Amino acid sequence: MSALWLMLAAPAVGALVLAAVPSLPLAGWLNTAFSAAALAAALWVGETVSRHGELASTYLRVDAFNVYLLVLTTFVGLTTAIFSRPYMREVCHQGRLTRRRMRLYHAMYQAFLFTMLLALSTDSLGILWVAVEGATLSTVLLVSLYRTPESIEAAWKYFILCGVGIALALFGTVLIYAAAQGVTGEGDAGLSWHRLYQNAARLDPGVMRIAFVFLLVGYGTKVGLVPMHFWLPDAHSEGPTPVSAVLSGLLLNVALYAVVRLKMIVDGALAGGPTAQLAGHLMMGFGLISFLVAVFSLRRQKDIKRLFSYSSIEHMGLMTFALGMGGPLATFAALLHMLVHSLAKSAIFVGVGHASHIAGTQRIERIRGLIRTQPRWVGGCCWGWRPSPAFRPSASSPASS
Amino acid sequence: MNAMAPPLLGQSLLLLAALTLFLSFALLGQTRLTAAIHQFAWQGAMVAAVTALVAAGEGARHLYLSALLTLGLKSLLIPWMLHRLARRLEMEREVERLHHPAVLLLAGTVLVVFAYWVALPIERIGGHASRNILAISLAVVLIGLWMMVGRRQVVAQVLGFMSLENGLFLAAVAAARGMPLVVELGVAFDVLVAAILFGIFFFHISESIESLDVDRLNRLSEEETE
Repeated sequence: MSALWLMLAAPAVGALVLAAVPSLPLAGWLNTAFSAAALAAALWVGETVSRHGELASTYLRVDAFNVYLLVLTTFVGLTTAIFSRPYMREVCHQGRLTRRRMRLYHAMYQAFLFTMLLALSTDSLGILWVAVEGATLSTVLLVSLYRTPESIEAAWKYFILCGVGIALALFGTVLIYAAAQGVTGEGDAGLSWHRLYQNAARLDPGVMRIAFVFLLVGYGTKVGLVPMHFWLPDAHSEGPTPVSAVLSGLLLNVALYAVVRLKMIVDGALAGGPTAQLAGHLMMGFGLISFLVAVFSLRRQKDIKRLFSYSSIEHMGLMTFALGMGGPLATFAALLHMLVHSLAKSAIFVGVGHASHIAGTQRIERIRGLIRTQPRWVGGCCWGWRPSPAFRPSASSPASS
Repeated sequence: MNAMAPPLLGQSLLLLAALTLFLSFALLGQTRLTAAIHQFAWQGAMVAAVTALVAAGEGARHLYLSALLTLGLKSLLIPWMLHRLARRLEMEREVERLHHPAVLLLAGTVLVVFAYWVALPIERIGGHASRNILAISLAVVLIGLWMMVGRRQVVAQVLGFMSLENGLFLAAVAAARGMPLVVELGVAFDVLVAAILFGIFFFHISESIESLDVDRLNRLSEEETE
């Protein structure tokens, strides 16, 4: 248990400390150190879970599913923090950011990590909601960090769309809690995922059906599923590069994780009825549409970061489709895909940020000649681009084969 | 709430819920900023009153705290912050021109019908009054959503967002007698942070486009023109 608390405490303390540290070089190192501490604690949690099967307390529960996401999140958090230290120092030296905003950036980076880890490790659907909303709130000001009109517009869109989406998810959560009243009892038990999952068959299918639609639309907005995806390319392309990396690589996973947990309960409640596969079918539909729309939009992009944002939508669509299909093989494929996508996409954003920094623009046709000046960078990016289906359909992308 | 509850309690709950919905409509059509903020504050007070009534009727202690939280946050603190912002941005007397006010309001009534239709299958939880209030709260949520889509001014959008959250609080109270305390506090904290962020954004937006009209926020699009 102490490993779990330590993992949550590292970024929480980090956020408070970094909000108070005025020195820029020190803040960069501290940011890396706190992220490393979170990763170490997450590995410890992983080791404990592999020995005991699961870790549980009143509000927290880590089992075989979320432990892998915890390790992945802290790992990408650390790698991005390592990259962000020299990158943000460079940006600051160019005069695009003031010292105060750098403090905001570092504190919010840690706060964002904290909310994601909380969302992944909590057992209560209510706290899950609070944490996912917290993740939005902590990144809104990061998206508009440069204060250009474009970035402010992107942040506003992100704030409003995700705010609305997440509000609908709260409505769904309320409905689930209402359905659970007579089954698991009132209070925290009514929102405990674990208790709900055990008693899923006794939940009212009519209420659960409506609840899932709200929850899917709500959390789906954060996943970037298609009719609700408009915030994603803007927010990912206008924010500073390390923020794009963690938004694309991590936040989308957390939202999808929430959908999967809820699907498990809803499947239990609807089993045996006429609409037993409703949750799966909805997810498959949204996933497919997202995949198709994103692939067609990809071809029209001129901004390199927007290009990779659409690629994120496409990958999330594939994962949603596979998870909607269910079954051990499809789920395994989706989770493997999630792992590869997180690692590759955060690496790509880091690489692309580096390239556009050198070229001084984000427009694709103007970023050129890198193989002569930066051969090692090009090698790295080719490796990272490999798993993008739009560039080479269905090769090496696990879920589509 | 349930069949046992005295009819007076059920009736007054329904009345307050209906008033909440009425205030949603008033907000939807209100073009004067100061009046809109007042209406929003009253809506928060209605939700707090519903919460307190349920607390009294059901003897649920923790709901008193939730009622107090709603009252303090939704009908005092946030309206006060919005007033202060409006004064500092010198837009107290500003009147927004609506393009199609009749369509805006008629669509609102359609949303109410839709909300009742969605709530129809929900029978097992609570009795008649509870389902009615659930439908009303969903209608408040949807009208808040519609307000964010249909109105072009940033403050009106924020009011839509906040009244949408009023609908959520109402739903939590009506359908489930409030959420567990930890969650309630977490949600309140998120709402507060969101309100502060909105305030920061007003300044950023008015600095960057010299107006608070979201139609001017149109630099990012699929086909980038340069």
